[in-house]
Amino acid sequence: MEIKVEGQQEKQKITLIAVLLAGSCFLTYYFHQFLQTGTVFTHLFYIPIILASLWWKRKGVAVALFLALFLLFSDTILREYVLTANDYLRACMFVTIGVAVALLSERIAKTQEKTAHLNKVLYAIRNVNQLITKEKDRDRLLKGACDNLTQTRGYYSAWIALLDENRDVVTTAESGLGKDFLPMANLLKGGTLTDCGKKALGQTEVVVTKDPLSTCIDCPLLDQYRGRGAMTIRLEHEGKIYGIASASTLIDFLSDEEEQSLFQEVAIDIAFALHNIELEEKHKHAEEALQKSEEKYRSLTDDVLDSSSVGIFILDSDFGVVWVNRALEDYFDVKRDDIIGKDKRQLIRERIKDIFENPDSFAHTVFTTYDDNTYIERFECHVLPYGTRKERWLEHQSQPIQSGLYAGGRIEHYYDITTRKQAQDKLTASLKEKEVLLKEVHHRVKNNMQVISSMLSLQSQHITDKASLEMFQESQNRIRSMALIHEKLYTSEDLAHIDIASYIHSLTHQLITTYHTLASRVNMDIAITDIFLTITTAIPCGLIINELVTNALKHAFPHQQKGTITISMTPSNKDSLILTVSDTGVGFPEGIDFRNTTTLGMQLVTSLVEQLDGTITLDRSEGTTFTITFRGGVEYKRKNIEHGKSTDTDR
Amino acid sequence: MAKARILIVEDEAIVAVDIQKTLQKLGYDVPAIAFSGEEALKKAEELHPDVVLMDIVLRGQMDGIGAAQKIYERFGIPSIFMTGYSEELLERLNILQPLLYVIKPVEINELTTAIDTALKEA
Repeated sequence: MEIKVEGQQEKQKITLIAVLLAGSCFLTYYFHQFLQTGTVFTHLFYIPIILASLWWKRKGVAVALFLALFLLFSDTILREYVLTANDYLRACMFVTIGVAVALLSERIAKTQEKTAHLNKVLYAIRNVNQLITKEKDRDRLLKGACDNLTQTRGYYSAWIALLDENRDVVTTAESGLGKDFLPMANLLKGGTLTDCGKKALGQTEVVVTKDPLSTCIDCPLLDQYRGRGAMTIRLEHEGKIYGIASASTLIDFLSDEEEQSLFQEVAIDIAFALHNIELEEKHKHAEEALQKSEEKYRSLTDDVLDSSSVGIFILDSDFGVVWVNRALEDYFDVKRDDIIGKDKRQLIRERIKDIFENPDSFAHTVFTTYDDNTYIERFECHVLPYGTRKERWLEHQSQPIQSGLYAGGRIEHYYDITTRKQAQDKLTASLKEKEVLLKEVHHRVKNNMQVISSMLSLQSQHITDKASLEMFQESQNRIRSMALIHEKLYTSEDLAHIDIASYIHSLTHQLITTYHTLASRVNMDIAITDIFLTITTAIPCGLIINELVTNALKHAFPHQQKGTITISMTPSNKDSLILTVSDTGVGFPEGIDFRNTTTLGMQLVTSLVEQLDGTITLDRSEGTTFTITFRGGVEYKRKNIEHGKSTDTDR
Repeated sequence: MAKARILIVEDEAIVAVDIQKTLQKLGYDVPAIAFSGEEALKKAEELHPDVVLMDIVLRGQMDGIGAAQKIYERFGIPSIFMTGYSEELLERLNILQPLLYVIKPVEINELTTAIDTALKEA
């Protein structure tokens, strides 16, 4: 369309010039032929001359030449009388004016062209700048920049090569060259820089190649540069060189400083954009690396938590559930996703009823620690089976989180102690079984002794001799005193120790029933508390008391005499016991050595005291007092405190 | 007045015989010994004793307390328990009225006193 308009205008111009020329020719002819006198009116001639020179510049000068020659020709042919110097002068004038106008017009046109070109370049720069602010992808930025530089026809072609730290080409972009750039791209990627590129890397200013055809014979783009030159510049920001950019434009524009500085500006802008992209990439990489390491750490923590056989709750400072591990999901048959983020108190209120055997006690214990800001230590809870949930015994503990993201929160552990608990139960059961067995043995022993006692009793029913009968009775009593030890053992809580006070009460009751005639006049005073003896000590000890009390009952209170028998047992030192059996009776006969009597009772006492590593003394000053001291030979216990040597107990 | 008739229930034969002989020597009529609760019920029904001398630990399903309860319910015959010193059974015995017991091993003096009391109460 524009071309058509231009064509039409061109025709009109030619027509107009032709008409004006025709007019000028006629005017010359008219003056020279008809008037013959005077000077040709040539002022009109300047119109076609100026117009032609304006429109067609140097070519337009032809019109001036034509008119000059025509005037001189006409002068020579048609005016025979006069040859005035005027016409020569005028012809010269025509040519001078024509040339002057043509030169002037040419100059104006060039300035206009240059301004238009610079405008295009500016427009391109604007577009590049706009692109820079938007584009975050390096390759698209480079391609877009090249496109912008050529699209506005500011430059014929443009290409950019990016370099790494080693000055090796990383990537290239171009516009306006297309396939023709391939050899250049290959050359660059192959590690060879163009001469202009090498030069550009070494300087901040634009490298101008005005005549590539003769200076850049090796350049693969040579064919593309016919009639054009190139500007090449490094892309540099804050000392870092990102690459080189090159653009081709008319050779005429190349030397223009404005042109160069605009191109430099583009290069600075692109370098800045590359710098920003690089920063962003670095930032992104750092962020990615951080995220990756965080993920790694997180997954590691999760793996560790999940592989643990301890059920774990992690709570934040508001008792919100932050995390639960797999073991916990398994123990309570809950799903992590249903629990994380929920309030732990509410979970306890809503869920535990069907989980624990004693939900109220559990809730109370846990809530108390929440309210008081304390922590749970070894709280055992019994998880009941339901669906896929197994029955378990768990030991619950909690501890504070001191630092980090959840500081102020707490970690709650649930240790599976089911196996331990079962083993414990088994052990308890087994112990119970053994206890029952031991009780049965003691019961059996007691029964057997009763049978022996009954046998002696049956045997003695045929005896009429009083002394013999008494001997049988005493034997029976001795057996019973031993049987009583076994009875005390199997009826007490502690199967290893005998409460000696209770034993002596029963023993003396038995004896006084045997000697029932004395029951009303002899008082029994037993002053023993808190002494527990083992069976090995208790049996000889019981026999000693049996003999001494029997002795007192038989001999101390003749002739209806009243009195008291006192038995006491007191610990004296750390590991010794003092047993006294005294009576307020007639007193042990003078002149009789109790260690050397013929009576079986006193012989037994002496032997048993020796067996227990003790000493026995007799005090006859007031009634009869036997004092027996067991030194270290007796193991005894007072209110759960062990005394004495255990080494001597097996004797 | 003829001496009372007594049934002894005791799973240790020799102990039982000892008590039987002793009581017989004192003039009591002791026609039989039962070794289990079931046997005691049978013999109580057959012999109609005035009083039963009952051991607490017996062979078989029934213990002395159960047997004594049944005998009292069915035949109105009182029992005197023979027990060890600290048998926890004493508490269970408390529910029985009248409660009579003697400490094992049985002393004959205690036993005769208990029998006399039992006969008087009955």
